[in-house]
Amino acid sequence: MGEAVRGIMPRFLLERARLFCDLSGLMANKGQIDIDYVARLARIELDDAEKARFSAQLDQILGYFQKLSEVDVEGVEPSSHAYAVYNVWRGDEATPAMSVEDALMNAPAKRDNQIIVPKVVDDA
Amino acid sequence: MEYEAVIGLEVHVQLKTDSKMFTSVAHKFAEPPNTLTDPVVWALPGVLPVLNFEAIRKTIELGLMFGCKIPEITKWDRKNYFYPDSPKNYQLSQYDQPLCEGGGVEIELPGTNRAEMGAHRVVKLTRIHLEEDVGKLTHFATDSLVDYNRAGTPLMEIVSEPDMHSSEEVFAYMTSLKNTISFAGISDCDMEKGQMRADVNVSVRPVGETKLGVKVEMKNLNSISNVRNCIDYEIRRQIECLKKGIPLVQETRRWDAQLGVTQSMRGKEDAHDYRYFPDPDLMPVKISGELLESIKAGLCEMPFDRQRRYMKDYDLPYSVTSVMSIDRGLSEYFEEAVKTYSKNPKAIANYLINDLLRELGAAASAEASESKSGDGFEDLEGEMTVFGHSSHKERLESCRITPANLAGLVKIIDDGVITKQMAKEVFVEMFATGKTAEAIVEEKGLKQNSDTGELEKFALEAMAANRKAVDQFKAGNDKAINALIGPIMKASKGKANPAMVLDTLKKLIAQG
Amino acid sequence: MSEELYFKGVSELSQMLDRREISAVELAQAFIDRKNAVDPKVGAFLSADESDTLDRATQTDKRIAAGEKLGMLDGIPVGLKDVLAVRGQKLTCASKMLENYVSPYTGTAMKNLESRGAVFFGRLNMDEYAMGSSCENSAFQKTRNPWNLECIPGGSSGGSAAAVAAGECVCSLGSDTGGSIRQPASLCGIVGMKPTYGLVSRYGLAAFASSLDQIGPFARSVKDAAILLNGVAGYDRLDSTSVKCDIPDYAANLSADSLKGKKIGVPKEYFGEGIDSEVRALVEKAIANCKEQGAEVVEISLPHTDLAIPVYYIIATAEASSNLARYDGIRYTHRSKSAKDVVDLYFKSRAEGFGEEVKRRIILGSYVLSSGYYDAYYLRAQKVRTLIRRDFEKAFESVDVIMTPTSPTTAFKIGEKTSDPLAMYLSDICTINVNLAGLPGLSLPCGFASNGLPVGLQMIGKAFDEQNLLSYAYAYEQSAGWSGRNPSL
Repeated sequence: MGEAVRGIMPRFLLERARLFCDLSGLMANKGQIDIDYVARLARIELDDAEKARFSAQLDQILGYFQKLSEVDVEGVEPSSHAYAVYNVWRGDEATPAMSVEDALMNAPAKRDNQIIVPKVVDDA
Repeated sequence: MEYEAVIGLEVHVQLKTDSKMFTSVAHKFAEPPNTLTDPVVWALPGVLPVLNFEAIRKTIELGLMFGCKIPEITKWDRKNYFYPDSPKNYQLSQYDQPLCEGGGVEIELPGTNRAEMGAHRVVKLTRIHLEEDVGKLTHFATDSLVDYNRAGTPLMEIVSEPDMHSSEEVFAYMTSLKNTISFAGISDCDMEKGQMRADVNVSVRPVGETKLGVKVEMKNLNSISNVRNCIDYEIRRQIECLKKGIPLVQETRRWDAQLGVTQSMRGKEDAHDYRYFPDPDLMPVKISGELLESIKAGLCEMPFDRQRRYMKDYDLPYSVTSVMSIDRGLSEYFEEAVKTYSKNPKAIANYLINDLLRELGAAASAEASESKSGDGFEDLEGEMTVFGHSSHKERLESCRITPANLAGLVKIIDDGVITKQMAKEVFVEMFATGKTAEAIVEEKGLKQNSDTGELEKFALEAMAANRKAVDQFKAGNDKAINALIGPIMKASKGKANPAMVLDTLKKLIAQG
Repeated sequence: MSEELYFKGVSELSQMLDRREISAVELAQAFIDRKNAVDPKVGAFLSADESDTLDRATQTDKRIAAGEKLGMLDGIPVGLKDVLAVRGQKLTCASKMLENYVSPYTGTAMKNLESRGAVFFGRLNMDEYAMGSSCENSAFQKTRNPWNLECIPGGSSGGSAAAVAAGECVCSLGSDTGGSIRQPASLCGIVGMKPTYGLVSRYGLAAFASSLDQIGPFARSVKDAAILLNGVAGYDRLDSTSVKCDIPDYAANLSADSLKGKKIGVPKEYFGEGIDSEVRALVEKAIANCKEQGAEVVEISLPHTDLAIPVYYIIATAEASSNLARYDGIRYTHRSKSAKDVVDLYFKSRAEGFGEEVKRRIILGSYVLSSGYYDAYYLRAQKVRTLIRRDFEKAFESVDVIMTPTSPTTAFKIGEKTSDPLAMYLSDICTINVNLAGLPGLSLPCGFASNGLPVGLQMIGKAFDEQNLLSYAYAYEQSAGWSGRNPSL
């Protein structure tokens, strides 16, 4: 293993080095990621500091992901699973339900054996 | 300028299975809250879905009935959105490889009157896919409650092309869907129980324009009158907007049934970014030719085909066939009865549709007078329609008159054993006891008297008692003979065969 | 009770139970005492229901008294990563989100263990929702490496590894999505194994990335790992990704001369720059040992190796963004008290309940799936995943096992990498390809670096070839003799 091998590490370490150089200057940059939009999709409230930090970090990570675009994937099937197995199903037989007590034992708020939520305004 | 509406529907139908779509707990309407759940329904940490094969089979079955293409491979995807009625905050659905593609639904538009068949056409389908239902929210003054009994119920989404143009067509389309699906036993399609719901897309455009107008969607319409009223309102609203030059926006609007109007729901910017991706917890399904063949072999006849067959083969009137051909219980009963006695299908159909259904209805309403069941709703014409009403199958199965016995009743009427008048009494007795018509006739001594000797004796007595009538008949007054029939029937205690009485009288009068 | 008891293996303890030299309750109590003595230093346990553990041990004693002992695992204290569902036990995922959550059901692997009489002991620390490589992302506590308390134990299953290394339980279960069993096993000097995807049911494992997650064993010897794997493996109709296959008695079939005549593939990509030179030297020495046992060593190439990080972080975060949507403040999690309405309830509950790394990954995963980016990121990553899997398939046409370092370095200092997520992702660089390919991977000790910290050798096997993989590891272990060295606490 004497020859200079293009291993997993060197490129990655390079990227990492670049990250550290860039991080400080990144706060001002409008990044690739629309952090408000994505945080809204994910239903996570972020404060301004988190937004700035995540934007910078995620832009760097996404930048690193760009190397995927260099790969020729013409005609390659995507893998959604570790193995291609088909037709895993069960027969239509009903089994007993869990007790309401078990079902609601961790509920943060309940009434009449149901979960209480703040009034839902129908937004479909 | 003239405008036309273009309407497409997404109809959700709950499948009639014993267990849920991705887990084996049962699903049922109106059970106490949260009694039909398990860890999978609640999306507890660590749970996984498993496909219900029967739901897949039933969806393929419907697809084949509608002439859809069934792809070799189908898969499930996650549709990601947050809502309190969705335990995982993603719905397992099918995105780009649904179970059924294309196909069409034959519909019938209203005829000129109820006795006439209306025009038929085919509404094109885009696809049918299989997904899971969500839980149920109940709203109170300050909060809402969530019940997850419904969550995970197998749900088909039947998506039509924008291929309809009026609420009448939509009504006809939904009626045809309901008739086909409920006949096949795939779902009861009871809209009152939420087993069938519709999302409606409406746009309008100037007549002659081929491009579609701006689409407005109304979601979760849960009765056929809501669907109809909502569409009519929305078409009027959109045409008015266009006429006034108010631009339409692509949006989701809510139907307010009380006010009779649709209202805009301010759209969320991310409302449609569902981040679909293939579910890694479920394996894709490969549909073999063998499976397809086995499902094809068990397909039932389409309701309209059955109706045409009844009209052609049995010469039944349109109005009778339109009741009978859409109901599995009625048509199976009818065909079974005709198999026993094939000479008078019309009479069998009449007994079935009129007498038997009336008795069954009376018995059922007496039994369940206080328990309110889905008894349908009034449509615009005030007519009870089939929506919200399950098949007659169960009632007919528990009915004491078997198809063979009903056929037997018709046969002995045709054979002149009893009169139609007497048959009424026999029918009531059959319904109450389950005995055959013959047995009842025998027991009660209702058999028509066909003893010629006795008849001649009664006839001669009658003629002797009323010479005037005999003379009038001889003189050409045909009606005069009726005055002789009465006394003979009386003398025979109603058992004399009317045809034979007439023949005997004519013979004796002629003899002098 | 002598301290040696804590470091005895499953079969030895089982024999002691058989011979009535010790009762299961005494054994359980000994480990409870041990935990109470050393865990204040190690911090491996998030909680332990001691009375439940003793109850389970009492059941074993009843069975032994009745002559109905269930097998080698009956009465053996087994620790569980706090991501595994057992009815009546807490299941926190080391997250504030589930701080008070108690599971109302038991997952399949744990049911399998229960049916063999194993005595569950403790809920072990981890990175929150298994996201991390150092156990520092736990919302509740740091776990320390028993070999050097200033160092991390690795992650995400750091508590499971540290508890076994410190003799606080005989063996334990963890979960491995990108190296979360093998990396901490390596850093704590014990054996850890990620089985083939589909061998062990995931029903009852709180999901991080569904297409990558597997439950697997930690133990101080290959044989114990084999016994524990037998205790959990098996087809499960509740897990659609579970695979029906014959499961041999792994422990009984271990063979010390199994390496003879076998071909070991050494992928050049795993030995390039960036691997700590001492780690590399020790791994190469281990491979040389295998060669001495009669194995042939060949250099191979897994050309798509350097794409593993992007592929893994796209697929894992995308799946996680969806898997973790259920933790929403509605049904069983933390619920924010300051929410204005139901939408706000989501935002605030999730902001309060999730830690930084979890938020970062959910955001990343939501982004790569979002409208307009799916094809460029997620779909492409899935395709490259296929290429990575093909690399392994091709390699395994000519070799029987692949050997690499498990972790590029020995355990690092607590706090050293917490501010640099990418640097942290690096810790799993040698292990994530195995998850992407769905293959079985095992880490076992292959020596100690000059800093006194253990180094792990990773062996990667063919799909569902756990028996041979365990045998190769056993052969090396028997020959090299690293097991038996334990940290002093």
